[in-house]
Amino acid sequence: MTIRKRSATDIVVMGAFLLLTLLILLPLWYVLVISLSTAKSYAMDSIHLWPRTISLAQYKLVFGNAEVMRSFGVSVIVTLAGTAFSMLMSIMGGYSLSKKGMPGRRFLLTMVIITMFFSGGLVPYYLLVRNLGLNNTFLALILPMAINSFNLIILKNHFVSFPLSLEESAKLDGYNDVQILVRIVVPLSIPVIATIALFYAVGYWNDYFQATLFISSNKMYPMQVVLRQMIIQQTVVGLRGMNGQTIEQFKMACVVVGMLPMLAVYPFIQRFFSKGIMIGAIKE
Amino acid sequence: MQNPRIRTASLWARMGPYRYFYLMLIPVVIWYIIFCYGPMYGLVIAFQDYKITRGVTGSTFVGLKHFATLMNDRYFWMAFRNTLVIAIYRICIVFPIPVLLALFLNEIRAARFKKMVQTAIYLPHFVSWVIAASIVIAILSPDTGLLDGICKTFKWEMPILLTNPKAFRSILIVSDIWKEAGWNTIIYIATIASIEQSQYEAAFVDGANRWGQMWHITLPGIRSTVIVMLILTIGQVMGTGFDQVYNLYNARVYETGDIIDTYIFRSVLADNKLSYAAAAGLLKSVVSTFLLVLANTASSKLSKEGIF
Repeated sequence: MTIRKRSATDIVVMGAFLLLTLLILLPLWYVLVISLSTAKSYAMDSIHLWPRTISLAQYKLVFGNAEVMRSFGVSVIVTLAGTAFSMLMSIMGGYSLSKKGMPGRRFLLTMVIITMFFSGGLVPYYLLVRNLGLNNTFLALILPMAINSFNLIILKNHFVSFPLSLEESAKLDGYNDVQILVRIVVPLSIPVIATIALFYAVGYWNDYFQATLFISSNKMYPMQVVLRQMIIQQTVVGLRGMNGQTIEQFKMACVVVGMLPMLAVYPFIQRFFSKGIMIGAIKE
Repeated sequence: MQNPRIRTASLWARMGPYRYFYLMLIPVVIWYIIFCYGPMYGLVIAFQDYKITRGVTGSTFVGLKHFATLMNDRYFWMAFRNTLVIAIYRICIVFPIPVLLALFLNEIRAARFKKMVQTAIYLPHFVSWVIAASIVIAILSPDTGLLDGICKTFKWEMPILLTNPKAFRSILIVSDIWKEAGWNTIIYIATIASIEQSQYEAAFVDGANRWGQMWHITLPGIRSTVIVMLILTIGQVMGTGFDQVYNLYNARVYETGDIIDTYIFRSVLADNKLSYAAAAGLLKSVVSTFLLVLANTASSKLSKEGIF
């Protein structure tokens, strides 16, 4: 290893990345500033990059808005239940498929990988979920998304590299394979499991597509659907009794509430990313 | 030599020790059969006049009728062309950026600064396309947006963007880079981290400066990862971007922005043309598979690397 002083090149590279970082954060910052400004200071400025006075008034409105809060609750429930179910399925599948020498393993793995490239497409999928009678149930938001093959393969690759000796000594203690998975393998695989759980949680939290296809009752809409109706389709959901200017601010406060849970969790899981978790994923 | 019965017995004997794993695989296999292979079987409706009341078994087969109609469907071909053009942009413009970012991130020696940059550039990946599109709209919309504010300040004329067919693809590309380029560095950063440190030391002894090291060690080190990612991207590019386009587009930009997936989506939800939309989807899959095989073959010939 060679140790060098910080050269001019280092400064240029760091400066460029600092600029890039600010540029990437700018849109998020912009939304935050609009949502935190008082109505008066919002009206005074045409570029909202620094709040003159900070106010939580819009957030009080958001948290007092029944429709937005109900959709927030739906999203929380779907995300928690969905992530738990996805992890159960993916860990069971990934762990079992990591067992070299199991008859049929190669075949099953190939069947999994095929689905990463081929699918029946939207129409057969849409008809299938409807024919299963899942529309207008929360199951339609969870069951079809239960396994992501990419995530399953990452888990499988991790379990392949899990030290066999630990499992063997547990077997001598009289554990069966399920007990070994639950008591030995899972507790020692927290970094990978936390990472994959985050990927699933983001998928559930950010989903609007399943609900658009299969949910027709307002009361069961997740937050992303309500945000979409409010901002992209510009249909007034729960915006009654607001004047034009504060609607912009209200929308941006909803955007912040809609993205905050994932942005808040991710930095805690981020330290696990670099540990080569992803690298095995593309080798299959 | 072998008696079939003994072979069967020995298969059973070989499966025995794995019985708990098979048990755990049962729900997983059932899920794959229903939710992945079920829709593949369901594609037969592309060759039928599918009626919901009759189901797959009761609907009449019409052969290639829907494909013949597709051939003369001006709007389908518009979407087809848009999908290809946007795919080419994604491959030529968006794909290389994470590679470059990773190469230069590797040159940052201040560990905490590097960590901070990574945290920031991964962030937009965790935002949904609904929210990303909302932010794009908030920035670009006339009268209230950030860009409008900047134009007013400098007395420039505010360009029309969100409803301008000429600008729409650029909006797609820029927002795609904003949201995913940082995140996509992760695989290259992990690959760079696995390069032997001794290679850099040897290059240093040979007199290579840091650009020489980047060119001769780091770049060859991530070469095969880049190739695999490129093949995967080419194989999947026609099926990506639905969430992005669906949340950003509007009827005024269909001529440059409507892609096959959004066209199919509207055919199903608005027009209820189920068999027709399934046929369009199948056609897209065929082209997509062709691209995957093409990319893989080209790569195997040129660089002896491929994914299958």
